[in-house]
Amino acid sequence: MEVIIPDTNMAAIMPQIILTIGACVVLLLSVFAHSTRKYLGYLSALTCIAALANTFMIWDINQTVFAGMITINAYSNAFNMIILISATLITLVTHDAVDDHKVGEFFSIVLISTLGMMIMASSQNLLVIFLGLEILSIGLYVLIGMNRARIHSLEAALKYFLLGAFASGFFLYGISLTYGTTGSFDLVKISRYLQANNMLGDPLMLSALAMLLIGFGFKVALVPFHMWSPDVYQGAPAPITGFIATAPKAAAFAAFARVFVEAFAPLHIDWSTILYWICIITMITGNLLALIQTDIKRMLAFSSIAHAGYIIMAILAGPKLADSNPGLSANSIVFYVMVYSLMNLTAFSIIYIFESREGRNLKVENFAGFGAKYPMLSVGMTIAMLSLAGIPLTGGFIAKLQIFSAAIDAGYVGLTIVAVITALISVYYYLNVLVKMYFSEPEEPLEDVEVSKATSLALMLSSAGIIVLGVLPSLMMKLM
Amino acid sequence: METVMSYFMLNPAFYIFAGLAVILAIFMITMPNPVYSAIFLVLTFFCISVIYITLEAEFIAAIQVLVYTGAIMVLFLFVIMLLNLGRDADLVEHSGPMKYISIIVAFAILIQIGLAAKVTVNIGEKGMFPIEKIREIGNTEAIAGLLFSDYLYPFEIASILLLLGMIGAIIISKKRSE
Amino acid sequence: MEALMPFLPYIFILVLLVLYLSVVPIMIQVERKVSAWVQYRIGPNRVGPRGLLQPIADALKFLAKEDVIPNHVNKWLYIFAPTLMVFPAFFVFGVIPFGAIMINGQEILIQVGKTNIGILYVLAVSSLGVYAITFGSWASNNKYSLIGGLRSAAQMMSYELPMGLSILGMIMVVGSLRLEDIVRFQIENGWGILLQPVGALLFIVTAFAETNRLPFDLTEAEAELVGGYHTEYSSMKFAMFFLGEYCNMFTASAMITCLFLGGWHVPFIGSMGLDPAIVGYIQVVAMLMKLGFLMFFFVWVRWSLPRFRYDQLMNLGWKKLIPLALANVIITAIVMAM
Repeated sequence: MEVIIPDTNMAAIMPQIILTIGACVVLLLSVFAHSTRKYLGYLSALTCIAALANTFMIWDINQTVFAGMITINAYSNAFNMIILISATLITLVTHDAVDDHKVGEFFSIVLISTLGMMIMASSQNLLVIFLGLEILSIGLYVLIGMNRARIHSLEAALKYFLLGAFASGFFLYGISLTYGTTGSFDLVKISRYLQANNMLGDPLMLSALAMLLIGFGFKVALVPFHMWSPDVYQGAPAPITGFIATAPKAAAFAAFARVFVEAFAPLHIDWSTILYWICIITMITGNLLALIQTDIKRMLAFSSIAHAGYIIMAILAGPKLADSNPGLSANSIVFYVMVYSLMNLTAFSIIYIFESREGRNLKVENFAGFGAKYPMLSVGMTIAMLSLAGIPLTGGFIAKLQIFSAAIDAGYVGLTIVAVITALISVYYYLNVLVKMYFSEPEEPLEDVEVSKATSLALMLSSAGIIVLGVLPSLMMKLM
Repeated sequence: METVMSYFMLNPAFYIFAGLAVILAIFMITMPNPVYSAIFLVLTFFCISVIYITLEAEFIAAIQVLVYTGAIMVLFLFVIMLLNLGRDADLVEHSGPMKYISIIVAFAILIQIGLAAKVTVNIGEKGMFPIEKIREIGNTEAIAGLLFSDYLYPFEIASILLLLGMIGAIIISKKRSE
Repeated sequence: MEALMPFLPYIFILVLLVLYLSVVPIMIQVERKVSAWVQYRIGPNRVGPRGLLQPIADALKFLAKEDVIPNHVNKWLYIFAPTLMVFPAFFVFGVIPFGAIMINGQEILIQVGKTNIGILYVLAVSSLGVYAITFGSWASNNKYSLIGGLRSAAQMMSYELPMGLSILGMIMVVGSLRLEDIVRFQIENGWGILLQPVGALLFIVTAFAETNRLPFDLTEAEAELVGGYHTEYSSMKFAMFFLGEYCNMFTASAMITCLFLGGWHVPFIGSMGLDPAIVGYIQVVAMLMKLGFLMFFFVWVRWSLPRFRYDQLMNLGWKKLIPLALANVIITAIVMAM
């Protein structure tokens, strides 16, 4: 039979190629050139930056390549940008954090995991989305459990692995049912099929939707599927937690929005009801449970669950705004995820700095007196907390504002009221950290911490990013 | 009932082995001894490959046996035996009512999806490769052709997935001090 | 003759079954005689003329012995394992072509099952053989057996990869997975051992490992593991393992013949001007002779080479054979592309 090679536009996947090559080079260097091991973190950061630069170079390309497997447009590039920024910052923060004999594997896994996220964010095919999901998940399982001396890491890794594999099973089942119903993996073809045939309320399609919802719900930690996230956040080493909390969520949200808002838009009456309630429960549970946490990483875990709830509002609004204001929902998701990534990265990097000094997990009360002792780090933490709380002049405020306006435009007034109330509740526990930092005396005198140049650079960049996005949101809007 | 019988008459081997696969899978999850579970999983995989043969997908059937039954499950057994999870290590469940609730829910979902598949008349577009065409060009050729054209990208990506799995396995099992 | 046509596959099955079962007693005798020859001694010479009836005596001994099932074994698996040993080897035989004979001017392939996945089927089914050893060794509940079983699982896994890769070169050259196509290709273009010398070497080496024959018989290793996986087995169940081992050898020989030794092909027979009908029969005999030689080769190697150490076995498999096989595939691809 004749084999027709599809459009293989290498330029469109050049950022992915750069990451793959970077991962292999890092791995090989660590094996064959021991003296380079110190610099592998910087090399990985450079790889991410190169991929990022390349993403900007192909920003205006708008095409689908590899027989519909990969689609490059402003939306996927925006998510790729967010993922690559997170990866760059993480590699900078962790450049000296790994044992010498694992450093090559660590950074190459980070790079390959990032590649998986980019695949997930820019694919248009359920099969490829699943492959991307698996690449990123397997990478994360290993990254969490890499430090076998820490029993908590192992527990977190095992928990994440078992539940993640379970959720992948649901996701795969959903894909196969979708294929069985519509006859295609391609989201464009699925969408075309659903528009041509009235599949509303079709039982098999409903089952497929439910399964896919569970799969995505697990990855972005929506409320009945969130149980893993506090334990994993608490158990994993802090920079890895920062990574898990940001880039994979960006990828999952990109795919989530693409699958539900683009492909399943004709069925939105079917899925929006259930997602509506999931959204409400997620916001309420996340914020209320965050209130009672003492461990700072657990608190941030519940807060990120709540943030996932806010992003779901934009996904809900998507199909309803498709006619009146098509870009609004997607833009607000991108903006929110961007800001969310920056503030979580800042917070977790700072937690990591203190945690590696203390050698144990930090409680909120441990932050007492930090304001006076570590002014610079505290400023970074303050910016992150204020932004997480959604205080004006930070990116978090603009992001919430956009999401809420999109939801109101789409007619979800009740949902928005719930969101505003829960956001107000969240201010309490974010500000609690600041109160501890600036208005409490430490029980015992605090020791100095050393912050490497790369880490402080990363922190400065991310906190500056939060402020810039809060003051000049149009910078980001222009890109879209 | 009539439709069930007519389906059955259409391809009896499929239904026999499908039923067998389900039964064996149930055995697999209910066995307390991990070695027995692994053995039943092997048999389940074998039944699944027979199902592929009844659907005239010989290539997938052979790969199923070669990869899952012949390689992956041998490794599973190897690890279980190496850890020596014999009779002493029987898995004991300490679960109360949750177990029964989850069994009921699982069956509810099963029945729901089964009914859904039955009621759904709309089975989407037909693929590009109906069985007549497969017979004409051959099973392996059809898969290879697709794999290196339309599915080139996922094919390459899968290799990265495998590389990642390899690195991950090594680093998880690596000794602490070099 | 015409009336017989629909029954041909069943006739083939019957013939193969007889062939298959008669191979074992013959091989036992050959094994003993060759070992005696290699070790410069006489070997069995009391039962029957020149000891030829020895296999029958052995078989009777196995059948008459008390069938002991030790108390500490896992009964079901203990009984199940030896039976499992024989089946995969026999299933594989279904797709091996033994020749093409002319009946009423029509060429008929002596082959039971025609499938377009040929070699993949062989690899898949023969990979199941390891379960017999693994189950048997675990069910025996004996540490020597368990070590034997673990070694066997690791060894079979490790050598299945270079085995698959070594065939890949040949498949690329031929462009078909069907064994009969591979043989026909060799008839036209020369034997596989000339086209793919490295592939042939690798396949033969891995075939020794897959059949657990010396120098790779670490699963048994009587010097260190008593009897390995079959330490706890006696009488007919032990004989089944024995049977399985020889059947596996037979299958491996058949694969080597079809892939690399031209199958039923006899060189230059086409230019001798013989009646095609007779040529067909000669070729079937040639196929059987090639099989016989390879079986002899298996025995010869067994009594000539020492056993590998376990780490040497693993090193050879992973660090030498797999890279070599990969290189072979790549070079074959490059040569074909040029």
